[in-house]
Amino acid sequence: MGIPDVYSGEIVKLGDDINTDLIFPGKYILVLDPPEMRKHLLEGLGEEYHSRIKPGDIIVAGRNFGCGSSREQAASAIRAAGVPVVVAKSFARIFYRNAINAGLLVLTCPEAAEAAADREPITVDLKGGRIELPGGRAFRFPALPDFLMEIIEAGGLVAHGRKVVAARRARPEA
Amino acid sequence: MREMGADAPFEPEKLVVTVDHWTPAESARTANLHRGVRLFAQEHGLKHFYDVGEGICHQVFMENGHALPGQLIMGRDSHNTSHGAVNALSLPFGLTEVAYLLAVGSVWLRVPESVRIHLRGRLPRGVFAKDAILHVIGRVGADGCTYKSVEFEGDLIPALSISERFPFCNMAVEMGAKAGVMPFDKVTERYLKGRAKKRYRPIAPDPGARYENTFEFDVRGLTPVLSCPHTVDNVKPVEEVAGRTIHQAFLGSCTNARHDDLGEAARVLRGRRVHPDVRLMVAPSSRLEYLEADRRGYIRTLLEAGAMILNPGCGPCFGAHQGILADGEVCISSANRNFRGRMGNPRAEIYLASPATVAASAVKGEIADPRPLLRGR
Amino acid sequence: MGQTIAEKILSRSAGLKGVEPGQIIDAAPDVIQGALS
Repeated sequence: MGIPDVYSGEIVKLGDDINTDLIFPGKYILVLDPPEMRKHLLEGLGEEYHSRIKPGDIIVAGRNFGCGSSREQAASAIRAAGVPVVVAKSFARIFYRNAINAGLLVLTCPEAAEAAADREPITVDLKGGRIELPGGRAFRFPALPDFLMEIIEAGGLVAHGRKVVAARRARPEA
Repeated sequence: MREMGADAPFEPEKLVVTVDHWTPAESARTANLHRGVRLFAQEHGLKHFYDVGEGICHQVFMENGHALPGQLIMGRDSHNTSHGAVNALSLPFGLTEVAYLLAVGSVWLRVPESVRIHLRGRLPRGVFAKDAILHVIGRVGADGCTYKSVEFEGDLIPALSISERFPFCNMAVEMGAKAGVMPFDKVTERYLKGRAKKRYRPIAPDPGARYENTFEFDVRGLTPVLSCPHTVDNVKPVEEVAGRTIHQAFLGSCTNARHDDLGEAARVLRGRRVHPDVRLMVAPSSRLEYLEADRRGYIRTLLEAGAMILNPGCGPCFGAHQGILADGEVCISSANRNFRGRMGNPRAEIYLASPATVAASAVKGEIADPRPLLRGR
Repeated sequence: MGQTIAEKILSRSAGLKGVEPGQIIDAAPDVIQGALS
C-alpha cells in the first residue's frame, strides 16, 4: 500500500496554537468510528466547520499545531475526514507523534505556511521535497526520515506493526 | 497487539506487568479488565506479573530490580520516568505504541535534547526532596523541559537515598521532560545489591557532552513549598498559603509513599491527632514498603493519630475510586498532579507537598509549615 | 563527540555508534513496563 508522490488540494488555513480540543473536542473521546469522527473535526472552531472540509483538502497551520492534551483522535480525525497532509510552521510534540502513528503526513515548512492563503490550491511534492503555491511560489521542506515514511505509507503504526509481524513470520527463524 | 497479528509478545521475558489502578476492583467492568490482564499473563507465561495488592507499578518495578543502570526502559504510564533514579533511561509511551512494542520489540522515537539540572548544597531541616523538585518545577515551568532528557547532577545527589532521588525523576514529566536521570554512585550500588538480577553497566555523560541548557539550584535556602491549584508549576512557599483550610490529606502515590515518606509523616504525627475535620488517607506504594513501615512502627503511629491506611496501589491519586472530594473541598497530597478534577471532582482543589507538610496540615486542619512540628523530633 | 546519558543509552538500543538530538531512531528497550489498568 503506497502513497502518492504528489498531493494537490485546496488549503484549509488555520492559525497558531490550534489545540487538540479545537481539533477534536474531548467530549467525543468515545467516538471511534471514522465517518462519525469526521463530523466533529475542528468543531472547536465551529459546529459546522467540518462541512467545509472535503477529502483531499490540505490543512496549513501556524505554530504549535496540535498542542494541548495528547488525544490520539485529534490526528486520526483529520485522516478520517480525508485530509492526507498537514503543513505547519511547527507541530506540538505529542501531536506530531500521534500523527505519524495515525498515518497522517505532517510536514514542517514555516515559509509555505506563512505564504499560504485559505481556499487556494496547493501542491505537495513528496519526492521533490517541495510545496507549490499559486503564482509559481515554491518552498522546500525537510524530508521525513525513511522510517517514519514507512509507517505513513503503511497507513499508521498498527498497520506497520502488522506488516513487520507478518514479515517475521514469513521468514524462517535464523 | 493482536490487531497487529501478533499472538504473543515478541519477547515476553522483557515484559513486567503490574495491576495497580483501581485496586481492588471497584466495579465489574474493572474486575473484568483486571481478569483480562491476569489471563494475558498466564497465557503468555509472563515471569514478571504483579497482581492487585502488590503496589504501584513504578515502585514494584524498581524494588524488584527490574530497573537497572544503563538500561532503556519503555512503559505505558507517564511516571515511567521514575526509574531514572537508578541511572536508567526510562521513557513513557502511549497505549498504541506499547502494543506495537509488544508485537515488534522496538519502536521509533526522536532522540531528545539533554538538559542538566544542577543541585547544589544540602537540604535544610524540615525541607525534603519533594520540596526541592517542586521548587525546581515552579522555576522551570510545566513546559520548561519539554521533550528533554533531564540529567540531575550536583553535590546534593550523593546525600540523597534512592527513595529521595525517585521524586525528582518521577516528577520530571511535570516539566514536560521525556526522561529524568540520576547519576550512578555507591548509593545506587547499595540499593541494587540483592535486587539486581542481572549484570549492569552504569552510564555517565562524556566530558564533552552537549546540553541545551543547564539550570542551577542551591537547595540550602529552600523552605517547604506546595504546588497550588490547579497546576503543578504553581509553586508557592508554605508561608504564603499557610492557614488555608483543608478537608482531606493524602499520603500516597508513586511519588512519595515509601516507608521513609511514611516515616517523615509519622515523625510529625507521633503523639498528635489528625484534626477532627480532616480525613487522612495513607496508601503505601507497595506491600514491601508497607511491611517496612510496619516494622518500624510508622503504621501504628499513623493509625493512632487517626489515619486511614489503604492498600498499596494508586488509589485516590487519580480520582477513580477512593477518597473522592466533595464540592468545594481542599486536599493536600503527596502525589504528583493537581490539575482540576484530578482526584475525581473538578469542584475541589488539590495542593501537592512533602509528606511532612501533608502530615503537619492534617494535624492543624489547615496548610501548615511542618518545621515547628518537627522541632526536637 | 561527547554523548549525554540519553544519547549513549539510545545509541546502544538502536545499534548505532552515536546519535544526535532530533534524530529518528528505532529503539529496542531492555525492559517494557506494562502497567495495565
